[in-house]
Amino acid sequence: MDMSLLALTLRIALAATLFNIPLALAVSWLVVKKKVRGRLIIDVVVSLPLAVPPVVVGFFLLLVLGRDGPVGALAYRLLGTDIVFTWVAAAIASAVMSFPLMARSIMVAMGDVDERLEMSARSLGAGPWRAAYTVTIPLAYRGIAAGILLGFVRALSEFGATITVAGNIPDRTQTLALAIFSNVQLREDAAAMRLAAVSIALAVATLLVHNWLVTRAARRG
Amino acid sequence: MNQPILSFEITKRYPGFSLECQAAFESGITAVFGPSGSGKTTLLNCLAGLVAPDEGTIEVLGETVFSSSLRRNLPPERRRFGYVFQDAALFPHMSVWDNIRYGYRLTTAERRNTDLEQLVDLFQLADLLDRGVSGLSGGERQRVALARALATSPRVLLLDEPLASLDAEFQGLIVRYLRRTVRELDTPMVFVSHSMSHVLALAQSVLVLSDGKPVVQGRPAEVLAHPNAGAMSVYSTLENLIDAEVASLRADEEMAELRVGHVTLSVPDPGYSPGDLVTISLRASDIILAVDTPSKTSARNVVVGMIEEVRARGTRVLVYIDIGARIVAEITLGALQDLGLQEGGQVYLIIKSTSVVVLDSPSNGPRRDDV
Amino acid sequence: MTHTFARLVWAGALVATLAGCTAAGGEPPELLVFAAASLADALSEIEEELESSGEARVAISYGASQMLAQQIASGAPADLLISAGEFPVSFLQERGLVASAPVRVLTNELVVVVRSNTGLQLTSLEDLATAKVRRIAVADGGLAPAGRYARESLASLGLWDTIEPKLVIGPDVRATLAYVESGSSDAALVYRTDAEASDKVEIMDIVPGDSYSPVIYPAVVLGASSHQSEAHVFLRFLVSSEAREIFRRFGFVPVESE
Repeated sequence: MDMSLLALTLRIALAATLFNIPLALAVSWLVVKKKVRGRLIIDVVVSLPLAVPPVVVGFFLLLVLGRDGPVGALAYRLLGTDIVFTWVAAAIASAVMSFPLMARSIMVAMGDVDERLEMSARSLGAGPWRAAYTVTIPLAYRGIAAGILLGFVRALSEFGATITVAGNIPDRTQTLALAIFSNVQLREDAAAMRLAAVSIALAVATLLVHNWLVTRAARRG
Repeated sequence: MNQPILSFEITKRYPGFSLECQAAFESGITAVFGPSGSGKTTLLNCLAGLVAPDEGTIEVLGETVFSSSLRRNLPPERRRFGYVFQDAALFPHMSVWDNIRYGYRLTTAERRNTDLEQLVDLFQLADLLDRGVSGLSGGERQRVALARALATSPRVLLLDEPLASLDAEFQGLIVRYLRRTVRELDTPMVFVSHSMSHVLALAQSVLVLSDGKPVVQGRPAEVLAHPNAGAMSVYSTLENLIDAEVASLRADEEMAELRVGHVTLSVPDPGYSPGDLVTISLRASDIILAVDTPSKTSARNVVVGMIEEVRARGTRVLVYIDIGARIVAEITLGALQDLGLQEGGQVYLIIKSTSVVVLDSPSNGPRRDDV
Repeated sequence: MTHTFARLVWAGALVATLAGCTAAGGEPPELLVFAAASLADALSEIEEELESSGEARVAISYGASQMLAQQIASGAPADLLISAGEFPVSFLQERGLVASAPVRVLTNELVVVVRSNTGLQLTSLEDLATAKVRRIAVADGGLAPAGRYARESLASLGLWDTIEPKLVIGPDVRATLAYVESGSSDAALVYRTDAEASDKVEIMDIVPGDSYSPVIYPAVVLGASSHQSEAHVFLRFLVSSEAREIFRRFGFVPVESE
């Protein structure tokens, strides 16, 4: 088992997940608690990567992150390097594809917190932020953690968008999923099976923790 | 006392319902009364800033906290209104002490007019401070919620049906605590209720809402007599809720003597001790009035009082009597005329001991945590 | 509880990032080579030769040639492309992305394969049009030149219209081969080199050599490469006698040096 492959895969998935967490918390809070205008649209946009083929997301990311795209051009000017076909692009692809799962789980967790608790906090002098982090998040944290794990496990296995915007370059952007694909392509079945076993083990471990958290959350509520 | 604490004129529309209400509240306890669906809770939420009215203004102590024309809408955390929900809405992930401190810590020193010790004392929460919230009884939860809300030294305390979700035994308790709060802290209160008995027991002024619009506002006695104040049936369930103290016990007859205002009432004793503070409930329709001292009746209680007000509504009459505490009796118009009862006159009240319901649980036997 | 969890997450992230940094950030390979999937077996051996001789370090990313060319056009940092077919290279040339003229390294042949031990006998390409063969796999012409050659061959013999409804399109040649191995297709049109790499198929040498354009494997150094000289060194190695010997063993036909 090639440790650098696992390390790269974990690095990309963790970066994607960590990047998503604050964004998912903010978006979920806006939709569920603040109930901003246009939250239906936000919900649809957030869910899009779930609903369209991953290659579509990859293609769109290529347009944006490529050297001619708005973000890619800026990055090139500031940093002198391309984003595409690096682990950063892979992380961005994983982040986008796993965001809907994380956000939707967090929305449910936050929605389960009785509104009147937040109202009480507000009437006691807490602003919206304070009410969120002293009341909503502590009460929803198991569901939030479960959502984060769900996002992580999705980011781990991301393929279609990743290969489009980051390619399949060993040691740079080749994650576990892409390595399995390559091995199958190159008819290295034994290697493919080994890697698939690792992939499944990772997924099972993460999902077990996720389910444990969700049952604990349900029991508390 | 004549300066309005709170004045407002607001409109809030929902599909199928709209609240259009203009009123002013003075200090002391004001009730907002009406059946469910009349808009009481919506009004309360608008005042608290939890819901924004579509149009109108809300002023508190001269400060405009909401004005649709000026586009001003002070968020709840800046309005400094306390809010107590019907079932307390305590933070389940915090201890009782942390719940109470939550708002206190957010209040600046110069704004505080109570301290936590005073509140813990007032609501007798010293033994509960370390406890989690889930094991508390209804009465305990409501006390914690009150302490928590008052810890922010609010300008006005808003309460949504503070007694509705409590068992009878805790209602008396919370009525006493609310009265105590007004006495000791002088915080103006506005509470929402669909029980005229609670309104009668607590409020100095009541605003009646029906279908989102105000019907009448005034003293409870005036409002009860108002033709539009509510169905006639409210009279038949109208209860007096009065503070009392257990004076002594008559073990042989299994009776207890309760001191109520200036008078003493005998009630069946389910196990009280002298010195216990209780609240009694006595239906207005269970009180018989007489102009002469009645001889030999089966009722154990005959006491004397002075008639303060007589309010007739059709053929039903409410007679408000001072016995050291305010008590109301319901009689028919015919009886009123036959007896020639008048404001200022003396009258005898005949009360069966079994008509007097003591709301609180006795404090002997297995010790209960609430007093 | 929240604190413990948060701390675990941060600890985990830190460990993984450090691991990723040290492992992947060791010594990056000198050259990034994009190569057609059909070259995988041969090129891995060549890669080993190179590493042991210490002349260069390479990382090879395999895929469908056109897809690789598109990735390069989108900014993939490859130093060299070895393509199956000339189209992907001319695609890059048109966009001014090549550093020098492409070098023709290999040729390949198109064959028909069927699953071993099925007893299916085919004597000519026309047999594919008969009821004996229900499904035929070819690679996606848009991604793998092998697919285009297959179509060219069938069309030149007038068989395209009859056979087209029976076609199963695979994303690349290896997948196409897999279809036959697994039995989802009765036959496939693939390169000889792929067919020889599999022990589960039988080769039917029935594709007339003149029914399709020559299959050329050009290699080209890319303009964006920051390792131009090393890339050219590698290119020269590809046409060396050692490399040629390896290629021959796998069934390729190296182009005679000029």
